[in-house]
Amino acid sequence: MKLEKNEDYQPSEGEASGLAGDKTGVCDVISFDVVADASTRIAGIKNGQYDVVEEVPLDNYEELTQESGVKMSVNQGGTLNLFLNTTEGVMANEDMRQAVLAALNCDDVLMASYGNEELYELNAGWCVPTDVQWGTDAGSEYYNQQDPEKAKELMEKAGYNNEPLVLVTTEDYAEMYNATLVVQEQLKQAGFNAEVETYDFSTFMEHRADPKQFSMYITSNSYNMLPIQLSVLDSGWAGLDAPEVAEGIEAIRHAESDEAAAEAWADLQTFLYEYGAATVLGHYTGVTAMNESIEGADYLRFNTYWGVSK
Amino acid sequence: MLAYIAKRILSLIPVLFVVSCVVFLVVYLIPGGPAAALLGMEAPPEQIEALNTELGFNRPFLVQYADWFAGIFKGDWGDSYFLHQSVLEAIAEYFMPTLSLAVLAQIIAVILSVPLGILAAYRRGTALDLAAVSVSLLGAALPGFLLSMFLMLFFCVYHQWFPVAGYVGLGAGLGEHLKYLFLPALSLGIVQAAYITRMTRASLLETLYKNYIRTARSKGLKEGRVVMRYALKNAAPAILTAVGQSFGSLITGTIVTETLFNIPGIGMLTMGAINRRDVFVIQGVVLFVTLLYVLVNLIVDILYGFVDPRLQPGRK
Repeated sequence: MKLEKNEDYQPSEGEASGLAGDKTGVCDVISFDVVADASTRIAGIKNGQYDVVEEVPLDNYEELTQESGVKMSVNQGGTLNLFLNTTEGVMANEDMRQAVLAALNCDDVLMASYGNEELYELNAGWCVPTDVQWGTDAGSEYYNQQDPEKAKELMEKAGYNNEPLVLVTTEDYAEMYNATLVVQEQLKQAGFNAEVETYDFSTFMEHRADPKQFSMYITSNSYNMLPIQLSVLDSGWAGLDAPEVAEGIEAIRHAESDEAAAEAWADLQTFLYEYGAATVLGHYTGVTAMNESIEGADYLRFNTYWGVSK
Repeated sequence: MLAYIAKRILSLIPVLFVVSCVVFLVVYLIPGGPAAALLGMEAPPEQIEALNTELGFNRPFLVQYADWFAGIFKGDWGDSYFLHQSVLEAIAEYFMPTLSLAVLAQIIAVILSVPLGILAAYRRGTALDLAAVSVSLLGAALPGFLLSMFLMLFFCVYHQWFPVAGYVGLGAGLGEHLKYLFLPALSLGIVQAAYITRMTRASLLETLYKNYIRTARSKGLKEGRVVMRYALKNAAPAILTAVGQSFGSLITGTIVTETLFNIPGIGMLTMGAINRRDVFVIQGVVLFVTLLYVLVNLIVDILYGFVDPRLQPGRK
């Protein structure tokens, strides 16, 4: 796909600032190539055929940081999340869900998925941690507990009888797959009978949408502009149908001030953890590799290139 | 000859019917339709269900199959949900890069393998024969994707003599076209050459010890003429069979190489269609590839007649 500069474009006035202000195209032509294979993208940035490579596999991050002529751009992308089945099967029991949350070591999960501490962040919030309005660590006492003993106590309280817990996943998204394997291992060590079922993406989507076909699953979800857009609040996503969710969304929508809306969101986030609906495992980054001569490329939830030059 | 060709083409029909039925059934049985891929990971299940219904994916298998099959004979192979074009247009667009790649790879394979096979057979038992057999075994054992990556690393990253990936049509000039195709073709050609070398050597060995070869030598003909005109000509049908099979597999089996070198060919079209459950494209490609395979075999059979008139198809 080739984009050519529109010479008749009239930019907004004012200094360029993110999505606002001046957007003056610098390059005459920008070409986008869809390259399916990651190793080919890496070879392309190394030999100079590509000036910018998005979706750099995290395993190649360190290698490329040492490559001469290449610079890296690491940007927050979203959250890796574990969703629990709140309506069907053994996970419908709230004590069982809390037992799962107690058993998790999110640092290990994120390391397995992203391979480098510089490429993820441990944080309980569902929104961008630095977001002035929506960034909150409410409910963090339930996050990353690393307490298998507590998990065992809760399992006993729930009357768990070694029923299988089914973790569905797909190898089509490596970070989700790797995280699922680590969570399975952590749950096994805590005494759960955890099984992993792996499918291709389309089949995984079918299973994750049917509460009869999973106990839990992990997905990576990019950030939303507003917390009420989060998948975890959608009953069609993992079956969460508690009245507190609808009430929380209404409270945010009808809040009289930004502060009140932020408080309402903090309450809702706390509920999600208390109810054991789901947990953030951590915040991930997206890595872009660029030729060191590239200037003007920016990141605003996605890479932007209107000001890019070489 | 014409009657033979007509008979072979007519025999295609039951083959195409069975193949298309089996593939349609397999795709029908796989969970998930194209709606999930079209709408993305965060689409609610009711939306996915609604789109699957709209696309006709919830209809019974026989209804879907009959609908599609009836369309084939009218030239309507269906439309791709993702590419927003007809399946025939998509196949035509994606086939040209695969054809270019297959032809170049085959040329490389034949240039490498036939002389090597002839030398190995002629110098049977010598170090040259052993080297040729070892090299061809190595070519057969080495996975194609690994060879592709080695070539990419050496020629593109370390030495920057070739581009890493991409495809440029013939319209941009033969030089540019070949610059992008050479490495993937070399990778495929080396693997095919391994097989053709062994077939060439084996079939030539069989003919070199025939009585007519001894007669030719005793008549005082030069050794080169004996090998090339007498032995090779009689070994040619077997070599032609190997080349034909090789070309068939090149046309149909270049998915990995196309993905690695980012060539928009039939392989990439198929992989994308399978991942996205783009059913009509899957069906169309399978049908097309089956047709091609049978046609390649037919052409090989016809070429036998030129190499050895005794083998002319339809000859009584």
